[in-house]
Amino acid sequence: MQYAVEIENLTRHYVSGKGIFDKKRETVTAVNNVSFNVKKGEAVGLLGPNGAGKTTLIKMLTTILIPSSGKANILGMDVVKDAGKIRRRINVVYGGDKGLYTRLTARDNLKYFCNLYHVPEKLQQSKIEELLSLVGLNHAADRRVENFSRGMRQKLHIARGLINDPEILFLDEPTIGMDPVSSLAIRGLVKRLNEKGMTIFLTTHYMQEAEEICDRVAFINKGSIILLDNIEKIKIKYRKSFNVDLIVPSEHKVKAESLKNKYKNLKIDDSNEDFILLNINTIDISDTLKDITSVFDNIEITDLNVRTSSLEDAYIQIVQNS
Amino acid sequence: MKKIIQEIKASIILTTKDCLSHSALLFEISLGAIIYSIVSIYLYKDQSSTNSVFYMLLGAGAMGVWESTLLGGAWTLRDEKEQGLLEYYLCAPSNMLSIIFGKCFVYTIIGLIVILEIFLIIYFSFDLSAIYVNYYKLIAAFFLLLFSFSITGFLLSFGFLLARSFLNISNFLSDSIKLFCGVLFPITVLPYGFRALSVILPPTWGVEIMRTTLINRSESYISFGGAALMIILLTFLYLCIALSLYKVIETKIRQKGELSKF
Repeated sequence: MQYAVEIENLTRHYVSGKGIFDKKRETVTAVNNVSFNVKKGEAVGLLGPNGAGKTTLIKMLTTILIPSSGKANILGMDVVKDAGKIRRRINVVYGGDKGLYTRLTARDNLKYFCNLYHVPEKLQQSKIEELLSLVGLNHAADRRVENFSRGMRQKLHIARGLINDPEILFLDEPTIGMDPVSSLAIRGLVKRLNEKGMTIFLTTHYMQEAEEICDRVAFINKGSIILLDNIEKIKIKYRKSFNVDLIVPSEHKVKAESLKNKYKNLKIDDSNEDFILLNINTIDISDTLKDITSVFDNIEITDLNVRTSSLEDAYIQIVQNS
Repeated sequence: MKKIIQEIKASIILTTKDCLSHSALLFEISLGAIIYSIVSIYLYKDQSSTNSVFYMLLGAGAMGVWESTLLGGAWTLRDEKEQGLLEYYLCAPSNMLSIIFGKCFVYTIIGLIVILEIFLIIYFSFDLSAIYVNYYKLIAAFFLLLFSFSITGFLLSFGFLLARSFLNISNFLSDSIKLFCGVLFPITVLPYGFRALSVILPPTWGVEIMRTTLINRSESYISFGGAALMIILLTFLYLCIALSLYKVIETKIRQKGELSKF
């Protein structure tokens, strides 16, 4: 199988000067011996705290940086030797509002990048209209980018990132600093692109974003990959317990308290006159649900909610332990 | 070749639109040259020799042109570095040289406008009928001056790609070029060591060729043809150096990873 991305022992050091005339050299390892593959059409997320090495890794894969050691292939081509060929078939979108000519219009920006990606002149007009429509910016096509909101700028970035119909789209924190509605739109768009077969390589701080878009996620910390797996598998592997939230009418408080005999960690909130809220933390969910139905037999349960460990719980646990 | 033309054309169109949207910048470039020229006229208006006034006036004009071409070739790249655009250029399959060349071309045209302003000031301030002006040579001199300046700006722009502290160096070079290229005084008054530096800088010959067309030839140390040949040879040499260095520079940029630092 030909992979979209193949990474083998990839390492990147940054050397910077210190002291008078930068005489002392300081070496920082941003990415340390990273190896993994991404299948064609897959959506993979790279999660990690600030300074973990996510952006450096993306920059190496998009040919902006040369690795200090190791090897990376994009669509079977080497990122160092075949940079020119790779650039034609991939694209990258960075988060934030930089990277655009703000005094020019959205259309001008897209037209410029059409030319830098060698889109034939006669196809440019239709391509620009198609992309503006895809990201929902048709109404603002001829407005200066400096008057755009953060969300609109990010949508324009994504339109620019699709100008060459890339086989792989690298997204570096694409929704950073955006409001929930704009983030949702961007996530939906990326998801649709992936469903159409585009390989997505995403870095993000937002677990929900990774859960919505990605098939697999890699956790990176201090330059090293500490876990790479399917999201559901990670959640199951790192799930310690279930949280059960239950709401019943307040007249059944005595019955509710009877659960305390078995569940010492049971929390009862009776601050509301009409209802009481119960919270049980349990490992064996099926057993707990049986106990609840037996205690509240023939009683109308107002609400029942079972929460499993989220990706965020797993992430915090893994990063803190690494 | 078709792709390179497409890239250069795109860069020219974008830079033109971007320039037109920065009206204050155009005003600054344009006004700077006029102010230098008017101050020169007032400083030297009592000089008996028209040649001395021309000498200063053309020097002042050249300073204005130099600011324009340097702005185009180098300083705009620094702005784009700050805006995070250079990383997007590097990700694209296009050649960054074409983009830089397009920018230099636009600012060279702005430089042409500046030098035309200077010429109009000369035309209306002095009685040109008293001296013989070969207008064909004058036009050729305009273009050679711009060519020499824009290629120097083109080379300087590489510095902004490589080093984030290049602004300080470029400010130094900008001032040095005014001193070493005979903008304010003939290079013959410079010590020998500095004169060697002057002769290898294309703007030296760009300024001189302008003067040979308007000033009595006996006051110039080189003929029109000699200066033109020097400009062509040096700019060709600099262009070859730039083109051959680019691959090395791109590799260096990718090794250093400072394209987003400024």
